[in-house]
Amino acid sequence: MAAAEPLNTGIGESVARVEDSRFLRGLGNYVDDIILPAQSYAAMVRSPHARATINGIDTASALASEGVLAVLTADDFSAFGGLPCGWQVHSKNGDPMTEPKHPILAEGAVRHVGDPVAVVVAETKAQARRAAGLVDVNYSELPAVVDLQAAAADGAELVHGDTPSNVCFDWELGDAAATDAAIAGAAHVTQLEL
Amino acid sequence: MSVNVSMTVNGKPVSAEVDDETLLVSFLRDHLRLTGTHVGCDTSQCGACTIHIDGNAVKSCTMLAAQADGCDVATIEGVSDGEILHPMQQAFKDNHGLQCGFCTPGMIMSALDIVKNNPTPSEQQVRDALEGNLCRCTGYTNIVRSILVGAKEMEAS
Repeated sequence: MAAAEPLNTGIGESVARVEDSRFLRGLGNYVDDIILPAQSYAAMVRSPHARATINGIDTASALASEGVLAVLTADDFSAFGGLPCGWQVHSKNGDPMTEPKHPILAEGAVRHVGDPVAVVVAETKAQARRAAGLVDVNYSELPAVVDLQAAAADGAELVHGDTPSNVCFDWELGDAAATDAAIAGAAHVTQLEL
Repeated sequence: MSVNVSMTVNGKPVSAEVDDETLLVSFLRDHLRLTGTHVGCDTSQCGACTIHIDGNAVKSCTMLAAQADGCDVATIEGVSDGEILHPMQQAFKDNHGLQCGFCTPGMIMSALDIVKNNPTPSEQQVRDALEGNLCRCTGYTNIVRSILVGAKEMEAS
């Protein structure tokens, strides 16, 4: 059989990237670089607290601010569900993972610093940011758990009030007996809790 | 309140009336449409907005446009000769010193500043000097290699 001609498939050979020249010259045209006629801009209002109840959101000043087109909060998304988790994991006992609702914008409570509470849309970036600073969120701070072990401990504050614990799933993969045997026979064993 | 700013950008005089709170990076991107200078973090950590002011590398998200009044500003758009890449840009291309390309303009502008201050940097000196530029794709091995090769090419030419 004659030697096969190279197929130029890109498999097993270097491929010169066609996009590099424009990236290197500052001509990448990323999404943030695009300006279309009548384009508007969004700015997020985010939680400064690790955990808090939202008593109310006053959007009046933000709405009245120059250039503002809309101020959205969770109420505007009541027709929608939460953001779904794309990968379901079952616990080793077969239970489905605990999956509390992950709202598009915070509904009545925030659960981490940076949790999005409101979105301001305005004609310019500066107007959107300025108005985002005018959204007045009334919070009552709550105790927070801020590391994995504290969150998984018995009696921990529940990050989502409606779950039995903060544990999402208890999963394992592989051959436990073979792994134990390999560790038992190892010259050196290091233990690490993450 | 608006202010009048005038500066030289990539060799051309520019002048505009802008809001006094306009950041230099916004002036370059939104007013002059030079969008090669990127905003990665808005907090002076990532270095994607690095440009040169009067010959020195500066993070343009950290200063107001008004502060650059009268200055000589250079951005990534002024580095190549049209489609002919600068030796530093060519070194990044040849050494796969970029993947998504978002941090690249800032990397190139920092690299040129590194070489200006030290035409024959060691690998460690390049790594130290890149402290203010973050890449989230490739890690730094190829970027550092690119800068070392670029420095050699610039020294030779």
